[in-house]
This record gives sequence, C-alpha cells and structure tokens, in this order.
Amino acid sequence: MVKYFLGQSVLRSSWDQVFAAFWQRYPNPYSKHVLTEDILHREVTPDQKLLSRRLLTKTNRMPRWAERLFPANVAHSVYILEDSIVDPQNQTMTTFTWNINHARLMEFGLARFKSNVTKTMKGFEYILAKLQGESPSKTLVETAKEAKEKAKETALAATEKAKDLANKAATKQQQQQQQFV
Amino acid sequence: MNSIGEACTDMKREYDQCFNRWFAKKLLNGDGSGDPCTNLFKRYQQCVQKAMKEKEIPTEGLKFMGQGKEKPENFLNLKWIPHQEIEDSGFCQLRL
Repeated sequence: MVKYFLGQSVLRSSWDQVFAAFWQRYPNPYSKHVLTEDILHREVTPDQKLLSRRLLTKTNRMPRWAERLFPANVAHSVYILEDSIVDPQNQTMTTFTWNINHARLMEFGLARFKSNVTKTMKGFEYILAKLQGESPSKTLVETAKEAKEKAKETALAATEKAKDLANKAATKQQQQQQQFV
Repeated sequence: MNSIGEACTDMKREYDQCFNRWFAKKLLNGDGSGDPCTNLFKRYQQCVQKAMKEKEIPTEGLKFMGQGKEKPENFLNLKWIPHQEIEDSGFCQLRL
C-alpha cells in the first residue's frame, strides 16, 4: 500500500494569484465529492503570516464490496482538517491536511463485521441443531473441547496400536531369522 | 460552497467575499493590519461552532499543523520559484 507520494507541478500563474485562488477553489468541476467548506480559525501573526484552519466534509466513497461489508458507514461523510500558513513576504504557503474520522469509521466497521460473523456462526449452529432434533445448547467452544478430547483418545489408541504392530513385526522377524538358521 | 451548518451558508459567503477582497488587496501586499472582516467572521463562527457541536465533530485539542506527529513530506508546499530557476517567468511551483 502506498504510504508516501511526492508530486511536483508548475502552475502558470503568479504566486499571489495562486494563493488567492487557494481560498476560492471550491466548488469546481472536479470537487463534486466535497460537500462543505468552513473556516474554523484565522489569524495574522506579528510577522504578517496568515494562519488558517479549514474544515471540509467529503463523501465517503467506497468500492461496492466495502459498502456490502460496512453498510452503516455508507451514510457517513469524512471530516477533513486543513491547517495552513501563508507567508506573503517569502512567497511560500504550507498546508497540512488530515482526516479526523475516517480511521475511526473503518475501526467501527471492522468491529461490527467481527461481531456479525460470530452471530452468524451461532445462528447457524442453532438452526442446524434444531433441524437435527438435538437440543441446541452446545456452543462452538464446547464442541471444540470435545473434539480435542476425542482427538487425544484417538491419538493414544493409535500409539498403542502402533506399538502393538511393531512388537508383532519384531517377533515375526525373530521367528524368520530363527528359521533361516 | 455550502457550510456544514445549513443556517450558516449565507454568513459564510458574506465573510468569504470580505476576506478574499482583503486578502488580495492588503495581505498579499504586506499590509496585514486592519482586518475589516472581524465582525462578519464572529457571526459566522458562532453559527459554525453551534453546528459542529450538534454534529459532534471532534476538533478539540488538535494541534496546529498536526505538530509533532507527521514529517514534512506530508505537507503541501507552494513556493514561488523566481524566473532564474525556471525557464519562463511568472510560474509558481506546487509541491505535494
């Protein structure tokens, strides 16, 4: 998965045009996924730099397989913060942008998915037991325990049988040798 | 562009107009004093803060520029490159 990306472009405009445009870039034909834009904070520092914090909400678009797995998250949009420093004297502008809820959305989705899988298995066992006319009281844990015990017993029996066979084979070999002599 | 609070969109647009004018004329020419938009901004902010509380958007305690967390590689940098460095003049370099 890509973690870092570096891109460089040259814009054919002067710096003051670009900096001004930065505050006016929404909406545009390429920003249909951006739903809202708000300035949360703004101040001019003593050295004439402009500090701003902008809140954007964007649609939470997921591939269809993810929509099927996390249907509850389809309705939630992603909140993004963009902090920026405009320095007109040095003609530089620096921004830092991050989302503040998407990671949590995915965590929630994963937890819900895990819980649903467990429920699915319990429900399945319940129905199977019902269909087979058994009392539907056994859980997966109990069944696993029983299976382990049974496996132990089978292993022990197998070891005994193997020993027995080995003994028999040894005895037969002795007999054969004796015959040779 | 809409605000996160439906009731705030008009206030936002009014403030944006004021800001964009002031930004282009004043700040970019080195005169960052005398911001004429403070009252508009206050009204707009009150509305937005209310909307954010209603929607339970968590923006408390988030340090400016995510200080201390991320490396500079994650910054969007816009830098003016003087024409000696780039063939044609009047270009602005965008570095993501």
